[in-house]
Amino acid sequence: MGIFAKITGRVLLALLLVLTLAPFLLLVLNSFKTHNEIVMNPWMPGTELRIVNYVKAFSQVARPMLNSLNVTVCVVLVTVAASVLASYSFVRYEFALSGFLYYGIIAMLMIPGFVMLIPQFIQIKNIGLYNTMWGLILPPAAYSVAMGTFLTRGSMESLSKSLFEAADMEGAPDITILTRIVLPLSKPIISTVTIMTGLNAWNNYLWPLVSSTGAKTQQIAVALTKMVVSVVDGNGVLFAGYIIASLPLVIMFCLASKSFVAGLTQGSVKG
Amino acid sequence: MAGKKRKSLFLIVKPYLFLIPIYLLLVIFKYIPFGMAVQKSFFNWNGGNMNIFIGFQNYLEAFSDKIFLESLLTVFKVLIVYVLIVVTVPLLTAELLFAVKSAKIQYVVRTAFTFPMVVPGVVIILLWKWILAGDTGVLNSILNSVGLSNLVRPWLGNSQTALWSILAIGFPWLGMASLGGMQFLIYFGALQSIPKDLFEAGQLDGANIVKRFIHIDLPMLATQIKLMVTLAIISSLQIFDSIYILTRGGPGTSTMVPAVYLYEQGFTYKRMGYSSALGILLFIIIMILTVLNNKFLKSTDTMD
Repeated sequence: MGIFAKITGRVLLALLLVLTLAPFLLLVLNSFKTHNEIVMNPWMPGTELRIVNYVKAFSQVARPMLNSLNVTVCVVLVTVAASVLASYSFVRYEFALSGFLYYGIIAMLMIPGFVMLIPQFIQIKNIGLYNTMWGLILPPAAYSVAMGTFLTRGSMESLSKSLFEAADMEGAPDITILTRIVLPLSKPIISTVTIMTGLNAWNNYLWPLVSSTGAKTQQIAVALTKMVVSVVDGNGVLFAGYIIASLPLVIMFCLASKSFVAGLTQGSVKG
Repeated sequence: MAGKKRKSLFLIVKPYLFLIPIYLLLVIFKYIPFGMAVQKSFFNWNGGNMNIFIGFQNYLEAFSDKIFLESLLTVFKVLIVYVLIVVTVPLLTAELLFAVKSAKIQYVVRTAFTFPMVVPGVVIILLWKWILAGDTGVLNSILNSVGLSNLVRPWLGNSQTALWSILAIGFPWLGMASLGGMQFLIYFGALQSIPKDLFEAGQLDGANIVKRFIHIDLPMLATQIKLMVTLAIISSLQIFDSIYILTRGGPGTSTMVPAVYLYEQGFTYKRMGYSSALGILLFIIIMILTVLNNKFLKSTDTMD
C-alpha cells in the first residue's frame, strides 16, 4: 500500500475518532461549568470545577437510577432463565411441536414493539400491574426472550452430544445437567444475552413513559428528559445528570469490554 | 406395568415443562395483547367504556389520513438513510482500522468507537438537542466562527431541516443507526476472521486495495452486511425516542413518524381503536418489507 494511501487512511481514521468522541468531550467539560461559562465557549474548561452541578443533578437522578437498576437486574434474570430453560429443551429433546413452538418464540423478533404498545398498556392495567415494578419488568422481558432464546439455542447446539450421553448414562437428572454442564459451558453466550438485555432494559424509554408515573417507579431514561434546572444553574447540571446516569454502563463496559465485544462478534463469525 | 406408563408420560411432557416460563411470558404479554390489538382495531374504543364495533372504518380512515400517510413517507426517508449509513460508515471505519498494523492501536481505537454504545440513547439525544439549539447552540457557533453565518438557523425548529437534523445526530455515524459501532464491531470482527492466505493469494495476483476490497472483503462480509441491512430496515421503521423527545413530530408534521403518531392517537387523543388499527397496518407493512428484503438479499446470494 502506498505511503499516500496509508497517510490518508490514518488521517481519516483520526478524523472519525475525533468526530465520534467530540460530543462526549463537550458533555464532560460542560458538566463542570456554570451557565455563562458554557455559553461563552463550550470547548474550553471552566475556571473551576463546579462539583455542585453534580450534587444537584444527583438528587434528581439517584432514585430513578435505583429504580432502573432494580428493573434491569430483574429483566435480565427473567430473560436469561426463560431463554436458557427453553433452549435446553429444544437442544436436548426432540418432541412434537418443537419446531412450531420455537418459531412461536422467534416470531416475536419480527413484530415491531410499538404495534402492541396500546394493548400491552391496557393488558398491564387490567392485570393491575400499571405503575408497578413487575409491570416494568415483565413486558420488556417478554420482548427480550426472543433474541435470548435465538442466541442461547444457537450456542447450546454446538455443545457436544457425548456430554449429554455420558450424563444420561450416569442417570443424572436435568437439573444437574443444566447446572453442572450446560450453564458453565454457556457462559459466553449468557453474558452476551445479559449485556444486550441489560442495555435495552436500562435505556428503555417508551415503555416506562407509558406504563409508569411518579417517583417510586420512574426509570432513568424518562427521568433524564424531565430534569429541571434553574436558569442560573444552566445546562451544566443537566450534563452532570447525563454523565451520572451513564456511569453504571460505562463502568460495566470498562470491566467487561473484552467479553462484550467477543459476544457480539461471536455470532457473526459463524456467519 | 402402571409404573412404566406413568414414567413415559412424564418423559413426554417434560420437554414442554421447560417451555412454560417463556410461554407464560409470551402469551400474557405478547400474544394476548396482539390478539387484542387485532380485535380492537375494528372498534371505536377509548380504552374505557366507549367500545363500538365499526368494522373496517378505522382502516378506511387510515388510508385517507393525511398525517398518517405523510408519516409513512417520512419514516421511509429514515429507512433510506439508515440503510445507506450501515453499509458505508461502519464498513469504511472497519477497513481503515483493519489497515492499521499495530494490534495495540487497533484495540484502543476499536474500544473508542464502541464506547458510544453504552451511553444511554436518551443522553445522546438530549446532548445533540443542545448542540443543535438555536442562537447559542454549538453547531451554530461553529458555523459563525468559520464564516458560514448564513447557514445558522434553529435546526430543530425549522420544518425543512428538522428531520435531517434529527437524522444527523451522531455525525458521522448518523441517525443513531450505527452509533456505538455495533455494525463496525461486526464488520471488523469479520474482517479479522478472513483467512490470511486469501489476502496473500490476492497480493500474488497483483491486486491493489480496491480490487482486494471488491473481490475478497465484500464477499466475505456479505452475510454480515445483509444482516445489518435487515436490522436497519426493521429499526428505522420503529423510530420513536429521538423524534418524540426532540420535536414531538413537529414543527407541524414535518418529523411525524408512524410510531409517534400511533402513540399520540392512543394516549393523547384516546383513540385506542384507531391506534390499534394503525399498529396492525404498520405490522403488515413491516412484514411485507421484511419479506421483500429477504427475497432481494437471497437473490444476491446466487449472484456471486
